[in-house]
Amino acid sequence: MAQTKCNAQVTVSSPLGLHGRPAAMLVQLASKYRSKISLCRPEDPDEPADCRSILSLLVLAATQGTDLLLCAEGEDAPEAVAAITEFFSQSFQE
Amino acid sequence: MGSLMQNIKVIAISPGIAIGRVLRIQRLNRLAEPNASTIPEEKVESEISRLHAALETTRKQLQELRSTLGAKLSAEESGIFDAHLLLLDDRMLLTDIEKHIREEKNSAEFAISRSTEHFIGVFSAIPDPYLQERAADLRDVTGRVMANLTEEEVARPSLDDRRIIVADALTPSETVQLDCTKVLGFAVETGSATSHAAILARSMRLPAVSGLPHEVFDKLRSNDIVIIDGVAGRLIVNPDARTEEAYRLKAAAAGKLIDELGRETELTPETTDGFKVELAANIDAAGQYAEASKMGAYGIGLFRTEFMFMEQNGLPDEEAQYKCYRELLISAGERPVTIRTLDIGADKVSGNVYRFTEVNPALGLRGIRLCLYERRDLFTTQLRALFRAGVSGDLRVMVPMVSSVQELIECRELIRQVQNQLAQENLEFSSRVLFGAMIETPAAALSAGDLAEYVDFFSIGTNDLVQYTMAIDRLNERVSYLNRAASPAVLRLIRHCVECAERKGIPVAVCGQMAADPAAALLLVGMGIQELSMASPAIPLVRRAIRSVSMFDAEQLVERALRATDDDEPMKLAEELLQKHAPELIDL
Repeated sequence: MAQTKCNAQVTVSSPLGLHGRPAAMLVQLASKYRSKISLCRPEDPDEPADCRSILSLLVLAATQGTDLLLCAEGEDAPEAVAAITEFFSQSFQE
Repeated sequence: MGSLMQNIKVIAISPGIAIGRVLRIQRLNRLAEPNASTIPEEKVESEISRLHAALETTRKQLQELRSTLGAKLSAEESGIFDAHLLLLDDRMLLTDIEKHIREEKNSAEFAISRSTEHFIGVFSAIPDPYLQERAADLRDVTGRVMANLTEEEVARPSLDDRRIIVADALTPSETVQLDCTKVLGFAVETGSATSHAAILARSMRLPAVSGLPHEVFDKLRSNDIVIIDGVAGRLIVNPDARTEEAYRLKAAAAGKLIDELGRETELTPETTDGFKVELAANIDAAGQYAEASKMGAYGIGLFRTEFMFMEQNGLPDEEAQYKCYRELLISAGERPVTIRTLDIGADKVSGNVYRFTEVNPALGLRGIRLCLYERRDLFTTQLRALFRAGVSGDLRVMVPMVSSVQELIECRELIRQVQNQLAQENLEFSSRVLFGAMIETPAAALSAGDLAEYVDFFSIGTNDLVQYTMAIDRLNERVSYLNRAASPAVLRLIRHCVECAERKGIPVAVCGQMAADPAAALLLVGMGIQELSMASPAIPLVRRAIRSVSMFDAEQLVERALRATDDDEPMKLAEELLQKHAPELIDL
């Protein structure tokens, strides 16, 4: 299967920000896919956070209202982006 | 440790004698100082294997712990284990640690320590309470890995038989893992958890000591036999047969006296010449009222509400608090119950309440300062719950850590607003609740005359008053020589406070450690204190002490004690008086 690259913009809507449980849930979700998945601040594209590393997500320090750029690269990139976008839009299923 | 007997001077924090085997607990979240910080080039690969082996051991331990505790854990608690496992498997963390080992030839311990500190540093730059909790998780996890690397014993929650817990420090989260019915006593080294261990030990009526020298802790192993003397402040390691026998006799005699005192709980606590003193109890949970009453407490002199706020499942809301206060007031019936509003500072809380780390929490935003100027929302909720519960009994509310008249004015204004709000919402509340100030700072004691204008009573917290008057951290054993409850300086402050209160016609209670010491209690009674509040087990002892002396003796004692120039002199005089009239209480 061809290597695909997908992007989407997501917004942190949980009052807790992307910390604690939501970050842990995102790591678990991202680990289900084979693609390389990252999040970055649009103003900081050179420092993407690896969605499979909880520390990396925490260091991103994304509080409520932060806009983030989601990137996935790999064979299941479209599915990964769809699932994670959904996760963000549901306010991290809280 | 060899079989040679060692008798070590420590600090007594909870009375009683315990003899038994040690369960040694090494605090997990403290990063040991790595001895060798660098390794030779050829050792890099073996160091990395060592790191991976320790990570694997830790992973197994965490999984095992999670499945053993399984059903006992709340969703939140098992979530903590999940977070720990995720951190353990974190690629960013592992890459960072491995980089230190490969590129800078760091030892695995040093590399872990550097990476941990790096990420905690990054977290602490971001003012978010949730991140501060993750920082604590990270420290906990890497502490476990470190312990596995250095093959130190790590905390195990299982206790097969009754043991004496010996720890470098005990955190609340570690103590919840202990089966309390299997604990004989505590000996702790130091750290901010000392006070926690002390409170816990006293509430469980278990002997405890602190200030255990590090080199002693280092050499002690689980299964060593020790004796804790929580009265004289001694720890005896590997006691010889004669010493053990002597302590067994002493423990038996103490037990007999405690039984005897337990039969006197109906007697009025009054001096031989008829001056009555109210004896009340200090408690941390509404359920402790029964125990207090059994010990003959007249009422509750101090209900510490902060324990409610330190539980795992988040902050208690108005309803939860209301129910708790109401339950306590109903059990107490007609008897007075004094509830202290949230006394929390940066040393006691998780990120739930307070989002900053303070260099000097004892002198920072704590008690009423935090409530008025940082978490007024929490304070308002607590006041609402208190005034609503007030209709169920004789409630008094006091605020901690007062140091200025301004704070009391603001509290009263807030109380007025809360009452107006409750009235508008048609909620039932009491307008007869008495309002008091805790006297814990020299500023409050010296301005007692001004403060008295704004309150219905004073309650002196001697532990903090000593700490702030002597300018000592009471957990720092290096300055513990200054930690004398009854130094002339502290006595003079208490005396001044009593005089100011008398002039205004308001009562003064004492709710610190000093009230629980039978000899020191005589000094307080002699100064005109009308209520002493203490941990329930101490009530029968203090009752006997008061009933054995006259007010005339107590006043004379105070006169001599106030003239003393030596910090130990007042207690020496008080003990002499007690020795004369109730010698059985001295050795207890």
